[in-house]
Parts: sequence; structure tokens; C-alpha cells
Amino acid sequence: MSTNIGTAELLIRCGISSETIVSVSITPRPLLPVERLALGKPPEAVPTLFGRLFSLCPKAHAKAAARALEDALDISVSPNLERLRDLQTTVERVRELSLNLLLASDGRISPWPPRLITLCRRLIAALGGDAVHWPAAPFEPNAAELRVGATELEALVSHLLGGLWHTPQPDLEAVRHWLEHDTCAAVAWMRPALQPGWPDFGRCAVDALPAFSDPMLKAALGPGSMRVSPTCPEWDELPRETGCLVRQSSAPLIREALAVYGKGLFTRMLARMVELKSLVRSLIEGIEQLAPIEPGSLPGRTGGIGVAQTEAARGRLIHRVEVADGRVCDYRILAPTDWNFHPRGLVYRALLGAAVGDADSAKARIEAFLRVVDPCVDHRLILEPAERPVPTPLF
Amino acid sequence: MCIGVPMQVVRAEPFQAWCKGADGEAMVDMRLVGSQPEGTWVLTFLGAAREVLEPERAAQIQAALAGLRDAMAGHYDPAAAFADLVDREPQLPDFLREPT
Repeated sequence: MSTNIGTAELLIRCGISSETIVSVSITPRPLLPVERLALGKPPEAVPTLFGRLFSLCPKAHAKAAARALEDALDISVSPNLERLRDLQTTVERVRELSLNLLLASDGRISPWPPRLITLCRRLIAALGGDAVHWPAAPFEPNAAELRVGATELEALVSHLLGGLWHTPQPDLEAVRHWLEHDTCAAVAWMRPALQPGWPDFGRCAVDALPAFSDPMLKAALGPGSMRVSPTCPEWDELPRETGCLVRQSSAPLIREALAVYGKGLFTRMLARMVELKSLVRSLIEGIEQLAPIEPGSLPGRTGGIGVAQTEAARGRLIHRVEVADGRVCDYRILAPTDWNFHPRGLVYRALLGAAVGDADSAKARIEAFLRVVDPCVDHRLILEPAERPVPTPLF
Repeated sequence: MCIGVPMQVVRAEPFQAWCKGADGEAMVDMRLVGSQPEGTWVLTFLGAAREVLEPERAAQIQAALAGLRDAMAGHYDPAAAFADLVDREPQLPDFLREPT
């Protein structure tokens, strides 16, 4: 095999002159033909198929696939089943945010990560496991198991977040105090962002990926002239950003951080913590609202085009499917990385012109920024000396 | 793409383990899953084990990745791949099933 599947890396090359990044080149990762695996399959096989292939975020992909197929085949499912799927992806996002934080905070082996992993698996099973894709018979989520699990998850995440978890509505001053005095894993992870030159590193303006209606999505992923490029997707001719910061940008604490540090490293890291806390709270609330699940309706047709979008840990995930005569005949997936690592998008704009300090500091700052935008993107970073571009004369 | 790769522990060391998978052997960071005995399947991503896998789940993911490798090489057979998913209904976890 010429390409290892787990290492389809993206290349980022930065030219540095006088401790400033003066050129950025982003070579998108090679596209893997993942969509081809769904072709010829009956719809009911596809959510599980993608859940196996995308084994780090299986619930997000399976949910997007199920919803796209329901749209294509005119299948209606109950709000309770939708809620169950949403809670599964919430658990998955909590797990990913927590594990990425633990991996990056330079921790040694502790009992916490294995407990978290096992607990999340248990919660997803108690939320119905794979049966949330068109259950054949009614079932009831195991409320007792879910309550016990949610309490345990709350304890684990509060351990990760320390005092931030217990402060109901922290402001920036409270966060600074937390960073100075707490010893939790989140603080160990965030503290480097307080170094001089780090908090607003990567500050830039890139518009958020807008809320898409289904017709917009069908146009964006369809075969017509509005189709977005898989390697450099744009909307309204502009690169877009998706992910934690976009999702949390209306939270009071993040608005305060944006006013001080812009969309730099500090605000981005803080947005991940705010999101982690918010997800666990919404999971606890959501579990209390669960109700018995009824099977969905039978397909209203044997073919059609369907789209779906869902928020995965890394950002917006979009699926589009076309079904004919009961078989999948076209499939397309647009992943968050495609937007955030657009060759002239978020990462490009964040890095170009940024002051980076000496060589060691440059690498550390850039890597920290890339990891906070997307901790799951396999990349190779090359730093090289460069000539500062000569400004183009205006006249 | 959030695609993890199953690997099997060959030799455990403190904080890491020498593992083998379909793409060869590699040293894997085990901080998230803890030390695991020889023969254990783990889901790896970017050099770190993210989860301990049951052998059945490891086999399912490996089969999916094999399908992807075939697609990359241009000889993917849709009729043969994922045969276990065709004509099958989604299953509830055991503890949610009605006793029979």
C-alpha cells in the first residue's frame, strides 16, 4: 500500500524572517476515497459502515449518515430518537475534548483517561448503541444507568477542569485566577498560552461557516455550479471557519476573551474548556428528558437525494447521499478539516504575518495553534528561513 | 479524517507499547489507555492509543480499512465488502433487550 490510512498528512510550510512568518503554504492532505465504500450498499448498512470506518468520531458520522438517508428516503423519526442520537454525539464530543486535553497536557499514566473512555462507551451503549439508526422495535433508554454514568462523568470532567467547573459564570478575571492557582489538567494545558506573545497568537478574521438550510447544503455538495471544492471549500467565495470557537462565540466568557485577545490562541483554548463544561451540563439535562423510543416510519420512497449536518468534536460535519432503487449511488462527505485548513483559510490567515520569536518558540507557538484548531489533523510543519517579501509599490 | 487504526500490543513498556497492525509495527503512546498486556487490541491515532478494543470491534474496523485500501488501489468490490451489514437490522445492546 502506498499511503498509510492513518497518516494522510497535511503539509504546512512557513517561511520566517526577522521572527515573523512571511509566507505560508498549506498543501491539503490527499483525499481518501471513503465515500466509495457506501456505493451499492442498502441504506440501512451505511450508518454502521461509516461508524466503523471513522472510528474516532463514529457517532457523529453515523448520525449524519442516518439523517441524510432519512432525508433522501422520506423517513420520519421521532424527536425522542433524534434526542438520543444527539446525546450520543455529545458523549463522543466530551470524550474527544477530554482526551485531547489529557494527551496535550503532558500527563503521565493515570487512572482517569481509561475510566473516561470506558464510561463514555457505557453511556453510548445505554443511549441505545447502534439501535439509534432505525430501531426495528420500541425500546427505552436505561435511565438509571444513564444517571449513574452522567454523575460519574461529571466527577471526571470536574477533575479535569478544577475550579472552572465549579464557577457558575466565570469572567476573564476568574479565569486568570484559575490559571494562576489551580493544578488541574486543563490549567496545565492552558498555562503556556499566558506566555508573552502567545495569548493573541494567530489572531485573524475568518467568517464562521453559516447555518445551512437543506437546499443550501444540497447545492453546496451537489453536482451543480454551487458545488464546493473538497480540497479548498468556500462559501460565498470565502473560506470559512468551523469548530469550538465558532460554536462558543456567543458565550459571555468567550465574548470577553474575544474582545481582549481576538481569535488567538488563548480564546481558542478557553473555548474548548467552555464547550466541555457546557456539553456535560447539556448531557445531564438531556438524560432527564429521555422518553421511550418508537421505530421510525417506513421509507416513503426508494430513491432520492438527502443531506445532513451535525456538529462533531472538530466542527461541522456534512454528508450528502443519493439513493436509487434502494441502493446508494452517490455519497459525499465534507469534514471540518477541509474548511479550517483551506490553503488560504483560517490557518493561513492566522499564521501569515504572526510574530513567532526565536526558532524554538516559533515551532511551539505554531504547533499549539494547529492543535487547538484541530487536535486530530495529521500534519507536518516545516519552518524555513525566508526573505521578507518586497512590498508592491502602490503607484 | 478521524480514522483510527487497530493495532495489537506486542511488547509493553512504561507509558508506551510496541504494537503491530496492518501497516506494520510502531511504538504507541499508551498514556490514555494505561499499560496493556500483550495481545490487546488498541485503536491508535497519531501515535497514541485512544481506546482498548474488543477483538470483534478491532476486526470490524480492520475490515473497513481493508475496504478503503482496496478502494485506494482501485479494486474495491462493493458486493464483498461489509457483507455482514447487509440484510441486517441494527441491534440493541444486550442490556436493553427484552428478556426472551
